[in-house]
Amino acid sequence: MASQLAYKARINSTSSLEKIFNAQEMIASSRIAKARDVALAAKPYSDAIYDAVQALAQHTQISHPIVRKNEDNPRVAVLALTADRGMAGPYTSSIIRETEGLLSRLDDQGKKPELFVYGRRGVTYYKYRGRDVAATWEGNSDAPGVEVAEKISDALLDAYMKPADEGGVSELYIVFTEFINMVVQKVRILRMLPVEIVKVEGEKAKDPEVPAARPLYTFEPSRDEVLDRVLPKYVQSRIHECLLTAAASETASRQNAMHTATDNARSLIDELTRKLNATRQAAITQELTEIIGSADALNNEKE
Amino acid sequence: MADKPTFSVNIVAADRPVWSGAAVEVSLPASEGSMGILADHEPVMTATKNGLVKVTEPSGNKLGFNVTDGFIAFDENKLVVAVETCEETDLSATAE
Repeated sequence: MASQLAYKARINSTSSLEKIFNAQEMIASSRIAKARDVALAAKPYSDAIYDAVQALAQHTQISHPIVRKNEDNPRVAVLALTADRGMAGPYTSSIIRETEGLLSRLDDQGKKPELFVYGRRGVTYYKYRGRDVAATWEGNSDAPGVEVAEKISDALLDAYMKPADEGGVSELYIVFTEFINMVVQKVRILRMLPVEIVKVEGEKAKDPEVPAARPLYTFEPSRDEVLDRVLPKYVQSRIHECLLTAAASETASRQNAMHTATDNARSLIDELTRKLNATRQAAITQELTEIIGSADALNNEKE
Repeated sequence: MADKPTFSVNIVAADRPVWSGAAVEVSLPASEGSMGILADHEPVMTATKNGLVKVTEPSGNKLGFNVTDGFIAFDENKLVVAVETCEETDLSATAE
């Protein structure tokens, strides 16, 4: 009988877990449409900035620090975008694995990577292991606003613009998860700074479809000042874009994980119910056998 | 009003596209002072300050947008206003 009780208790706890998983899954799937919309809504802005940066680059040989690589500084910054909450399957762990890979590659190249982490899970991971982290941000990883992007890009630009002897960095990498579709999300490493304008231009120049001449803009108040304004915005909007696609991936990844968890809980409940029934049937059969056995014994005694 | 040449305007904030359509005139808070743009303006790219963007539609209807710092790019009769934040405001209160 005790084992029947044990089975019932396990079925109960599993079914309440199943309810939680199911709720999480539904929350995630209702959020994912929103996350996608937000990512789409931010696109016109980053496209406008991208066009402006390309037009600026077309114009002239830029010597702004944001596009010029400071070769003799070995320090580089790595920003990892992780989740605030767990229950998202391998989302955070694959980011961390990829980040570790990048860090050791950079180490091999003789560079000194500095780590920046966004998302509570990543922060706790590195804190627990006692790693040196240059700066961390937490909160709203599944719905990042402009403010978060602004904070992060300010800190990173600040680190980037500082001279090497004051602890500045010469490159900036971002590790984030790209949203391909509901089922597939891919971890990507992006070198954000210095901005690779020249390379894009080179590819475009080869493409005969693209009109070679972009309009010759007049700049007000001056080219450099416009550049000073636009390039930080470019970086910020790129970071914001990464945050948004990472948020969409996180939600999708959470929905997948919770879907699997719900399925698992259901099959576990089925299995436990079957076992419970078998035990109950066994107990009933045993009781019957005992009763029949003893009745037979009484009958035999009478005869 | 209807004979004036028009150009297309696209106002985008960091988190959403705000407004797009045709206009005959747009005035902007450029960094060196207020700036008006009509159709066939020379290509220009300029930083903007916080302030009010005024758009005059071909119908003569005027729209106002409060913007915070950003930049604009104008070429081939296309104006792109890219700003951090943008809110539509009621011009009739201030214009009269």
